[in-house]
Amino acid sequence: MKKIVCRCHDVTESDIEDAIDSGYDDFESLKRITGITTGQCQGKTCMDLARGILERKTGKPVTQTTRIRSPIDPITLGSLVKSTAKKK
Amino acid sequence: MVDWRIYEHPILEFDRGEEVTIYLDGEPMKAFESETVAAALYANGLREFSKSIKYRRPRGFFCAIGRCSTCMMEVDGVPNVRTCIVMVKAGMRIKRQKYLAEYLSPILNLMKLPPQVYMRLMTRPGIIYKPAMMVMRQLTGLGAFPKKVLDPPPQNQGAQGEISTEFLIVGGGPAGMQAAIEAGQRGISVVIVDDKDRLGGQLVKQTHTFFSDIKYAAGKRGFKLGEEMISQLDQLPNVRVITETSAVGYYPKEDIMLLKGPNNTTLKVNAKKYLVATGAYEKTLVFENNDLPGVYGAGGVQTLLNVFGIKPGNRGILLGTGNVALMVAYHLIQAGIEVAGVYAPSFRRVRGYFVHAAKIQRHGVPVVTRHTIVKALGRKEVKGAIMTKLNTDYSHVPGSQFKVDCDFICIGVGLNPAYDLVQLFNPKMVRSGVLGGFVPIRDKTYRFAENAYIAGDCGSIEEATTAVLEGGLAGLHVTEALDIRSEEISEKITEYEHALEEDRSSPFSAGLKTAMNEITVDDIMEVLT
Ligand SMILES: Cc1cc2nc3c(=O)[nH]c(=O)nc-3n(C[C@H](O)[C@H](O)[C@H](O)COP(=O)(O)OP(=O)(O)OC[C@H]3O[C@@H](n4cnc5c(N)ncnc54)[C@H](O)[C@@H]3O)c2cc1C
Ligand code: FES
Repeated sequence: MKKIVCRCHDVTESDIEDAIDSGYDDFESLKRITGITTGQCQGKTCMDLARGILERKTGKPVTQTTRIRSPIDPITLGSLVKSTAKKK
Repeated sequence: MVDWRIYEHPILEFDRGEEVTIYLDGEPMKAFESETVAAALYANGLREFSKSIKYRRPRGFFCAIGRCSTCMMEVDGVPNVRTCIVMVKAGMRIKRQKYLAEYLSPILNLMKLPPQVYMRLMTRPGIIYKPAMMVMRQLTGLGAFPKKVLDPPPQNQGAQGEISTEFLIVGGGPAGMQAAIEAGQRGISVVIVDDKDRLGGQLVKQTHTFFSDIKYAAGKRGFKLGEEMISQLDQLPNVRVITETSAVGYYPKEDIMLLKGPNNTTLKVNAKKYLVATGAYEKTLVFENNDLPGVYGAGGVQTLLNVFGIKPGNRGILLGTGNVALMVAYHLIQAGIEVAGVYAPSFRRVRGYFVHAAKIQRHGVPVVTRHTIVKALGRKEVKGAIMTKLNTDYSHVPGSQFKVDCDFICIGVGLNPAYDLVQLFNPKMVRSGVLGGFVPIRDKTYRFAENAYIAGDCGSIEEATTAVLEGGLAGLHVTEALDIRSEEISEKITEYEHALEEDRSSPFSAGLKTAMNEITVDDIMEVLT
């Protein structure tokens, strides 16, 4: 029975724990190896849960959020292309 | 035909607008114009909206406010549409996203690959990548590419192009609206955007009376307060309201906020000042089957129930004993839905206002602390829950597990400040347990970056009343920053500050004042450089 942490990429609690055990024990590495916070919802569900697991396993507080980049919500490529094309 | 809509409610009337027909995989369904696609489908009995990407697990809606992305379906040929924030239109064709035959899923479930392998699977050699991707895309629930290039949005639709304004407010909850009112009344040109079809933020679903000393809100039902603010805004010609449009990016170099409207329209806004008032995201819990359709955010259930008048199920349980969970339990009871219990891991007494808890207990609903959920039961949707008692160290008390029959589980364990849009302004973020999560350092004028301000839940998780006050203050400070000053403005600022001070002095707000002081500095630019 699965305990889902990241719904977008189907990352489970044990995936996160395994990754931490294999040495990815800071938030940025954990993000890169498991894909958490990089799905369609951009971490709105998983960030807080993963942070909790990381803190529980390492005993160290997570004091930084992960880097956020625009766009924060999926948009069609077309809408971006169009807007730059217009400028020229 | 199943219909989960509530047609008789003791205190609410639902004005659903015109009845229309929409099609799910070709099958006609009854819907109303005022409903979102997800709400209409739910009313027709649909519980599984999508399949998860890797394990193909059934997924229902969760947040109902466009945050969690588990309600994505194909709508009129466009894949991956969040059906919970798209309004119904007559004749809409909705499809469940493609995924190759379900018989494959048990096999794939067996391949428990470590994440590092999964991420790189079949990316090399290049020659197999393309065909592999075609297969993989079918296996995932990510939908098929549209058959043809999508039509460009018609010229007259939505908000498009580029505009400049003095003050752009993102988020039309109580905080954003009050800021728009205060700045708008003083002649500032304001644009306020919200991703919902109407302004009001969380207020639209709050059907109970606020009890607060604050004159702005006391004795009013939440949604009425919202409606009053909207009609105040209507009277201000210099305030432009844009709904169904979300802010998806801020580009500091160009000083442009990128907005996304319906039908792939985009609008670029350059403003002298920005206010981020984007509210909060619901927290959730990790337990077995926590993604099963029927496990919903308490706010999502409240939206379904109070905004759309649709029953989430017949018998539910609530997790959490904060005000949100208690209120939602009460709203469920009001609508005639059975609540099997309100459970929380907390060892203190109930966290919410005592009156709320008492109200629920009077209806015979147990409010139980020191308990948590172990597992949601059911294969396709929730059929029950396994609960356990907790030891003081939060370990499970052996042998204390019991089963509760229910067809939905509501998670109301608190909110996280919406951290994403805020961070695009490169602020200094700090984590504060009392304030709910990661929030930016700001100064006394609510400025957290060179040209950006913050108010409401995204800056600290509090209440609607505090959101109104903070929004009002931010609006006034922005007005001053835009060089409109007067005796009247300074007096109004003092008035708001007093009200906030009072609001934060209640015994329930213990620690709040200190926490706010810790993140408020005299000179924000000094912190940022
Ligand atoms: C279930 C529940 C019950 C509550 N009960 C009470 C109560 O009884 N009394 C009380 O005082 N308080 C109550 N509260 C708290 C209160 O509702 C909130 O504190 C208040 O609504 C916060 O206001 P806000 O303006 O900061 O955010 P919100 O009301 O959350 O509004 C933010 C708005 O911004 C929009 N938005 C977010 N991101 C974007 C974007 N990128 N682009 C465009 N728009 C965006 C959102 O869709 C939303 O409409 C309750 C909250 C909940 C969830
Ligand atoms: S995004 Fe639609 S239910 Fe969460």
